[in-house]
Amino acid sequence: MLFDAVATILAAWTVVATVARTGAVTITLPAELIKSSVVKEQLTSGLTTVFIVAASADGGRGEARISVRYELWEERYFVAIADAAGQQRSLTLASDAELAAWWSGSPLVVIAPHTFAKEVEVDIHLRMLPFSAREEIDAQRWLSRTLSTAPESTQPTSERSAPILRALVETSIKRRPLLDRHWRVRAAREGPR
Amino acid sequence: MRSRLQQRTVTALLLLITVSSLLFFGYALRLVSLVSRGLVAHREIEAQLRQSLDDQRRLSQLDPGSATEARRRFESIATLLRRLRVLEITRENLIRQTEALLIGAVALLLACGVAAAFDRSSRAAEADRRRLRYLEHLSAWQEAARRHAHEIRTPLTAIRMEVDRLTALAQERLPSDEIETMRASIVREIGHLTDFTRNFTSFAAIPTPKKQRLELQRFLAEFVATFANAWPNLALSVASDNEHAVVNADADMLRGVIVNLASNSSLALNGRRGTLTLQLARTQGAWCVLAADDGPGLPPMIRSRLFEPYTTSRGIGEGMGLGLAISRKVLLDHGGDLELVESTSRGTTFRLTLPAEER
Repeated sequence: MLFDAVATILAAWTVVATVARTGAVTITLPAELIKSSVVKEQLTSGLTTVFIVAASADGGRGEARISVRYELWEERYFVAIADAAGQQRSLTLASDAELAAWWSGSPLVVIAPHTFAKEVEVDIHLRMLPFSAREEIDAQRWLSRTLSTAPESTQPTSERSAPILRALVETSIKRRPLLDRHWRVRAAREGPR
Repeated sequence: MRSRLQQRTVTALLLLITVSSLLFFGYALRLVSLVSRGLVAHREIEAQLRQSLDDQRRLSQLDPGSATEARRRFESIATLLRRLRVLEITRENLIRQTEALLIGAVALLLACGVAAAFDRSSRAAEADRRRLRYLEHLSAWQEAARRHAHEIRTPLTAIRMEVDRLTALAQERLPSDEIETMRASIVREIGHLTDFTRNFTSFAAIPTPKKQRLELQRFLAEFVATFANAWPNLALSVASDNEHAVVNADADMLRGVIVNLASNSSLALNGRRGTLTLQLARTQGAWCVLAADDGPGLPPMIRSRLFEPYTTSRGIGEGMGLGLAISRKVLLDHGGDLELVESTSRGTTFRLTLPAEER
């Protein structure tokens, strides 16, 4: 597991960025990222893994989100995308291979249409959150309920300690990124069709 | 001193924040572990839960009539698995944060230690530089004093010889008592000039200390006993009792320094009655003698130049202002120092520092 984590950190994943004819900056993320063991283990846990991609270039900024949830009963991936241009869409993918193919083959708008030069340097920041906000709240409530009735608790929960316990649980269970990567790539303008 | 206090306050605050954070994360980790211990940590149990998921799915395929119930049980197990996974991630985060805090706390302690050591050595180096500058400066004054003494002493000798010759010649022609009065007057003035040059000489040629083992407590007690009546308006006393204060010093020279301080205190009192208290104190690697009087204090204008030669608060003809310069040179030659601690309308305190005897 340690080897996998180190390999994830050292992996030279390449991101390709383009300035579309509309003036938006799009990127395609590497397939190796979605296939890496750290990401795969997280995806198949049944939790909603959220990929947040923030980008900035030459005065333009934007953020896109990709939520991937593996439905354990149906054994398929439900993907929801909200890009920097405000477009939202969802799709269902039947297997790891389909997910990887979609991931590396679908350009993602990370900066809405903007006036850019022919070529522009784009700073990209990718974070992978291990669960969604709703799952975070659910886990916090469940843990608070469990602790107040846990047989191994050394002290019974009193009215005074309940707010403290809740605060402790809410500050402990937080969506911190499992993956945090930065890239700086040169985005060339898309040629005419 | 204020900056040292500020540094210590900041360090204490940082340590307090670090310890509080460690306690918080430690307690949070314990809470999370209360539930996840034995569940998340056991991969077997997670595998069992996943097997249960597969069983429910297969059950629903084999027995469509119970598909709804199987689906309900499946969702229930899947929800538990998701919650446990959140807990496992949280636990790993808390462990990482606690480790980071521990490493941070250790690094902070190390940095504080290094900073404190660096601060101590810089202050020591700065004190050494100040002493060196003072000694170089003093050396120049001593050289000047030596030349003055020589330039004055030589003509004085010649004048005395000529006076004797003139006296002999005049005694043949004038009444002897008149000549004797004139001769005595001239010799007296020559005597004043000779005393004047003697001060220069004593400043110019301060001898090298002949150091011997000296028990400071006993030395001070003997000093007070010996000089109890030396200054009629000044009462001497020793305020400490420390048998372990041992230094290597020239007792005669040290005695001369305290005599100089006591003389200054007595003169400053200007006829009033006062006290001079001698107290021992220990600092890092050194013993200090604090000499505190209850006089009127030093004039502010001379405090910054107090140890420079020819600095005095007295009138012309009442002293050359070499006493403190000589006293400080004596202490510096011992590897110590003489410093003014404070001077107010309630009194003046000097600190004599001597290196502790190395065993």
